[in-house]
Amino acid sequence: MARRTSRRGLLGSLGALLVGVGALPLLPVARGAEKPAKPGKTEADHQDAKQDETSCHYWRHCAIDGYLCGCCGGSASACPPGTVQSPVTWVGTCHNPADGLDYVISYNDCCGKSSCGRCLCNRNERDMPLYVPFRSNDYDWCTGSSVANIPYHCSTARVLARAT
Amino acid sequence: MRTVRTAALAAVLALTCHAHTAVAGPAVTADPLGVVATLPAVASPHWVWVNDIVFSHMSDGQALLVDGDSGRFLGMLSTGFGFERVVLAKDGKLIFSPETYFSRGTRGTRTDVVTLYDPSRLSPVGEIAIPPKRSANMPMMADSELTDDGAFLLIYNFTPAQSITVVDTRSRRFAGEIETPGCALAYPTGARSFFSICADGALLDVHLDDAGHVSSRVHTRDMFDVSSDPVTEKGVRLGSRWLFVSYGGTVYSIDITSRGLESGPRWSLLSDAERRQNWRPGGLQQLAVHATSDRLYAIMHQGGPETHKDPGKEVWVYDLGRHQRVQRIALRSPAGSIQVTRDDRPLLFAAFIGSTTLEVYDAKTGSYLRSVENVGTTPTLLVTP
Amino acid sequence: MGTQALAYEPRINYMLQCLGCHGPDARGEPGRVPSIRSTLAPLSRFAAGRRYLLQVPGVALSTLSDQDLAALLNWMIPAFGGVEPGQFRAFTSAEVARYRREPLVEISATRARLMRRLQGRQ
Repeated sequence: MARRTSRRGLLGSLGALLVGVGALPLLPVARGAEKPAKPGKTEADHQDAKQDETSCHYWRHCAIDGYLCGCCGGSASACPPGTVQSPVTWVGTCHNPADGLDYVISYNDCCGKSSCGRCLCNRNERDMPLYVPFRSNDYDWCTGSSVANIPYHCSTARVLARAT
Repeated sequence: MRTVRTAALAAVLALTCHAHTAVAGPAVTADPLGVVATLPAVASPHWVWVNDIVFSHMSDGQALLVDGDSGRFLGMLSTGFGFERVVLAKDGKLIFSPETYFSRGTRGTRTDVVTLYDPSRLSPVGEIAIPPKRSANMPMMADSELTDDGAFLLIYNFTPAQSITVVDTRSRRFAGEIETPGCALAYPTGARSFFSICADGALLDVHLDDAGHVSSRVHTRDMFDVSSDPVTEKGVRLGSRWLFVSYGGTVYSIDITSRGLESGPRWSLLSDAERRQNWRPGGLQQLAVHATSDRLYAIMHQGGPETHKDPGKEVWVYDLGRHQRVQRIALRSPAGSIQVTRDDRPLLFAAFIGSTTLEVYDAKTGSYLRSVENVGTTPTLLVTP
Repeated sequence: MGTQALAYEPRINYMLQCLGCHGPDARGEPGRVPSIRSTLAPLSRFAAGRRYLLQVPGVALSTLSDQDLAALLNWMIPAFGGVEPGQFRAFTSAEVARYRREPLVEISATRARLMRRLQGRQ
């Protein structure tokens, strides 16, 4: 879940560092502190970070919304210690530039502690509004399952399959 | 403005200070204990509730009250986990707040309630238990809305089954839960009716009886194009019309008529040139309306299609009679949420989930008026009387 | 823009449209998300059951075409329903088109009635 401001496209490399590494509980970088967005600037400008799973630019994070579990004691697919992975979630697709293929990505939330507070990241490729729930990253998916109906902690991005 | 009245029973104590050294000075009267500020019974139209999901510490949801004219912080409510927003009673005599709590703060048994707050003392005066199914999502106004006469409070549930909890505000009781399969949120259309938006772009048109139970529930024909240019959930109401905007900047109207819900005029916020320059609406609470001047306000930025939630540094203002832009307001800081007060000298409030500064503008001239610092942690929705 | 215009094979469409709630094995979650696995094949064997399968919101309101939906259901029945391909009455695009136009506006009561009927048949 959750949204935030610090992101791809609008951040210079400093911003990407803040997103990826933060030692402090991160609040989104105020947009006013960033360079103005250039129309049409895309993820293509962040090639290095695309394979770094603690980066907001990581290729699997194309529609993630929340704190990256890789920065919270887990990984892009595993939950941090003492949390519960919600089985109910939404599933989308992301493009991996390393092999040029699209993959099916399941954005399972990890739940049961307060917000991780590190590596806040929100991207919205092919994300849909709340009325298409199985395409929407705006839900706190922790509350959609009985085993994990407890506070949101962080988000994973599990690969399920090649999409094509 | 605040009035300060003694709330406690303690009498004022007068103390006289006698020093051993020969210091002559005025006698000091101690401040009485137990003095608690209260607010005027009637809210100013220029007050704003800044709702805050406190994303980094979501068990500590809050709603913060600011006076837009003086810039003064007036007080706050503590509102639990995954907080969306307060809903102000139509007569101003109560504040409704759908809330979620876990018995051990961040774990344990979940309970959901609608807390009733006294708007003058900002303290709870009642609580209504509701099914622990309240949807936790990025806050939307349509997560909780009152029917037009204020009799029923509607709350969107997601478990992931979708339904609407109905609370009778007259008896202060849970009235029931209405299944809305495949459809989300609640957009009031009358004293006993609302619609939800369905995944196929149609609406679920729901009518209630006086007990708050379903009297009719109809899946309309498609009103929106979900596949190629979906509308956001962030609609605004002006009279008998709901206005929604799409990712690409098209305005869709839903008209409430005696024949039912109908699709109204469709028009674009953008010229062809602006569309080519990648201008588009964005934000969390991206639209506002001002009824008496017939104006629509929209947060605008430049960016690709996946930036439909991005904040913007401009608010474009449209004449709703002519469907034309009449003004571009430049903001000092990017905004993700805007609200315009209802009165005839309206203020435009601007906030952003990544900033704790609330900005205040003259909604007609666009002039910057003031900033209020340190308002909340991750402000979301702006609610005005 | 909006949802993907690409056509995916049924296995992938299941992941994108259904798996998030109903799970990789279509078992759902008791009390919260219905099991497709245990009910799909039995429901497909009688008219009211087939209608229900086409009128549930995940199917009726999907942006998948009638053809892709039919293919998806016809993939799911053997995949989850323990039925061999060819041993069930496949869904056609026409049947999908006919019933998805009338999505269910309430669901629990209809499902409960059908579950009682399934139990009666067993």
